[in-house]
Amino acid sequence: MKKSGLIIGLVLCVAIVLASCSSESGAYKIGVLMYNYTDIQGLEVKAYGEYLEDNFNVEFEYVVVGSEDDKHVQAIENLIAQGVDGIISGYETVLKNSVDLTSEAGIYYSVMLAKATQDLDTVSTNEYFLGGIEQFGHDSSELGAKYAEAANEAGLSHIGITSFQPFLFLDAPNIISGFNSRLLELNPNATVYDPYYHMFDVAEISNGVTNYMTENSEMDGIFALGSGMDFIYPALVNSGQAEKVKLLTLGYNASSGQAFMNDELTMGGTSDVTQALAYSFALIYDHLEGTYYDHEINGSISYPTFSSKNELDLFKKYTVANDKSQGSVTAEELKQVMKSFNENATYQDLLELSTRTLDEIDEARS
Amino acid sequence: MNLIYKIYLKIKTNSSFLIPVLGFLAMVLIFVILTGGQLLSVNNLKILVRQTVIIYSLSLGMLFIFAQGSFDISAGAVIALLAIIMTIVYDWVNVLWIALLISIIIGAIIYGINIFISIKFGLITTISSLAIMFISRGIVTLAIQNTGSIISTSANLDIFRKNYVLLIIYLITITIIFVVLFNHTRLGKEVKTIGDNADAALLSGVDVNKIKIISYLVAGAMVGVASIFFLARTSTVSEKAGVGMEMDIIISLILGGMNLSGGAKSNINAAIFGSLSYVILSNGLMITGIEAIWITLVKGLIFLIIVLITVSQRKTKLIPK
Repeated sequence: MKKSGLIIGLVLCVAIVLASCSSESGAYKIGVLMYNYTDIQGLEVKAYGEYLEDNFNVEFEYVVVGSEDDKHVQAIENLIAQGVDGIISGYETVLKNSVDLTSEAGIYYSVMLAKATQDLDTVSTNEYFLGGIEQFGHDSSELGAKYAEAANEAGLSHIGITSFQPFLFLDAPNIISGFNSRLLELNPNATVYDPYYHMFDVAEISNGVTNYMTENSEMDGIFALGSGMDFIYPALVNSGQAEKVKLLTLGYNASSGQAFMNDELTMGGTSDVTQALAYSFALIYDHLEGTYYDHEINGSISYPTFSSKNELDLFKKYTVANDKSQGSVTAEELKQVMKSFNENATYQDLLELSTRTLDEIDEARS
Repeated sequence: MNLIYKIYLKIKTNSSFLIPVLGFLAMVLIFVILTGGQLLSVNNLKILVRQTVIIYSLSLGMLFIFAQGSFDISAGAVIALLAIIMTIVYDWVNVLWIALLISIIIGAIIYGINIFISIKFGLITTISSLAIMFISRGIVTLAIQNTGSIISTSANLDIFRKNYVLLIIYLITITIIFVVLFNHTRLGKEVKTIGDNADAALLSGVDVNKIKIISYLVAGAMVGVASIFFLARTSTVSEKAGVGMEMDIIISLILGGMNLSGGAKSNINAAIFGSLSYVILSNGLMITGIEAIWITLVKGLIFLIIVLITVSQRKTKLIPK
C-alpha cells in the first residue's frame, strides 16, 4: 500500500510539472544548445535571451546538451520535432551533420561560442547555416600579447601557463605564442615555463598545478587559459599559493571580483556572450523575416578583460550586467543593425556592434 | 467482473513480459496526448527511428551480458574507438564494407578480451570492463590529440542515417534474430541459467566459460554495428564521443524491467521496449516544451515510477551480482 501511494504521488508530481511547464505562443521559436545554464556563460545566455524575448517576437527553448557527439545530434532532432524555427548551438560539435539535419528541416543553424572550422567547404555554402563566431578576434595572438602586457606591468617575470589540451582549445597555441613573444619583448629576462595542459578533472588539475608550481619554484604568475577561475584559482587557494603566484585568466566567475580586489587575480576576462547571442540572434531573426544581408562564415565578438578597478567596474556594468537593458548590446542598439528593423542596416554595422570594447560601449552610452 | 479478474490474473502471471509492454504503451499514450499527436507525426517517427537504432542495437547485445549476471560499462568508449578504427580503415582501403566488417569484428574481439581477462584473472566483469573503458578512451584521446582536433570520416554513411526503409528493415531483422537467439536457442537458455546460478549451471553440464565468451562476442559485435550507425549520425569523432552511452543502455534495460542480476526472469522485452521507452521519453519530453531545467527531474521521476512498478512485481532486487 505504501509503495502504491508512493507511485501515485510520483505520477502526480510528473503530471503537475508537465502541465505547468509547457507553453504555446505565436513567436519565433529558437532552440539554444549549451552545456549548462549554471556557469557564467550559461547564466548570461539565459538572462540575455529573456531580455530578447521581452523586446522581440521570439521565444527561446534552452536545451542542456552534453559534449557527447550523438547527444548533440539527438538534441537537434528533438528541437526539430518540437517545431523550432532556428537553432543556436554554443559549440561546433558535429557541425556538418547538424547543418545537414537543420537544412533538411528548413531551420536556420548557427554556432555562437566557436569559430566554424569543420567541413567548411560543405557547410559554408548551405543557406541555412549562418556561421560561427571568433571569440578572440581574427588574430588571437593579440589577446595573448594583451595579457603579457598586464603581467609585465604587474612585475611578473617567471610565468607558468596552463591550458586545456590544444585539441580541445584550438586557439590556445596562438594565444600562448602571442603571450610569450610580447612578454619577452617587454622583458628579455622573463621566464615563461612550458605549458601545463589539462582536461576537465578538477582533482587531477589541482594536483597537476601544485606539482607544476613545485617544479618551478620561482614561478610568480600563472596565465591560465582553460577556464582559469574555475580550474586553477581553487588549486592556488587550496595550496596556499594564491598570494605568491598571481593569476591571469581567460574566464570569469563569481569569485573573480573578490580575487582581483585581494590582489590574487592580475587580469581576468571572458567572451562577451551577450554580443555572441545578439549576433547569432540578429542573423537568424532577419532570415526568418526574409530580409537580410550577406554575412561572413565567421563573425566576431570582443573579449573584454580587466586589469584595473575601473575596468572591472565597466566589465561588471556591461559584460555581466544584471540589467540587460544596460548591458553590452541593448535591444534598441540591436534593432538599429538588423535589416528587419532598419532597411539601411549592413553586416558591417552588426559586426561593429558585436565587437565593441568596454570603452567603446561606455563611450556610446555617455 | 469475472473477465476483469481474468485479465488481472493474466497480467500478474505474465508480469515480467507484459509490464515493459504496458509501460511503453502508457508512455506513448501520455506523450501522444501531451504533444497533441505530434509524437506520432511522420517527421517525428523518422527521428525516432534514427534515434532508436544505436541504443536498440546496444541493448539487444548487452542483454546477453546482463542476463548472465555480468556487467559492462565500456560500450561508450568502445563505440568511439571503433568509429575511429572504421574511419582509419576506410581511408586506407577505400572499401566501405570492409571498414564496417572490421569494425564489427574488432568490437567482438575487444569484448572477447574483456571476458577473457575476467575469466583468466578471476575479476568481476565490472572491473574488466572498467579497464577496457579506460584503455579505449585513452586510445581515442591519443588519436584525437595526434590529429589536433576531431576525427572526420570521408566515408559516405548517409545510407545508415537517411534510408528509413533500411533502418526499419534492420530493426525488424535484429529483433527477430535476437528473439530467436535469446528465447529459442541453447545459448539463450544457458545464458539465463548462468545468471540464476553459475555453479549450478556448471554442475548441470553448462560450459559456463564458453557461453560467457560467446555472449560477449555477440555483445561486442553489436557494439560494432552500433558504431556504424554512430559514425553515420555524427560523421566525426571527438574525445567525448560515446561518453555516457553505457549508462543509457543500463537505464534502457531497467526501464524495460530488466533484473540486472540476470537469470531466468531476464526478458528480451526489456531490451526491446526499454530502449524504445528511453528514446520516446527524451523525445516526448522535449516536444512537450518542458524547460531544460525540469527535464532531468521529470526523467528521474518517471524512471523511479517505472522501477518501483517493476520491483513491486518481483521479489528479487534490481542490482547486479
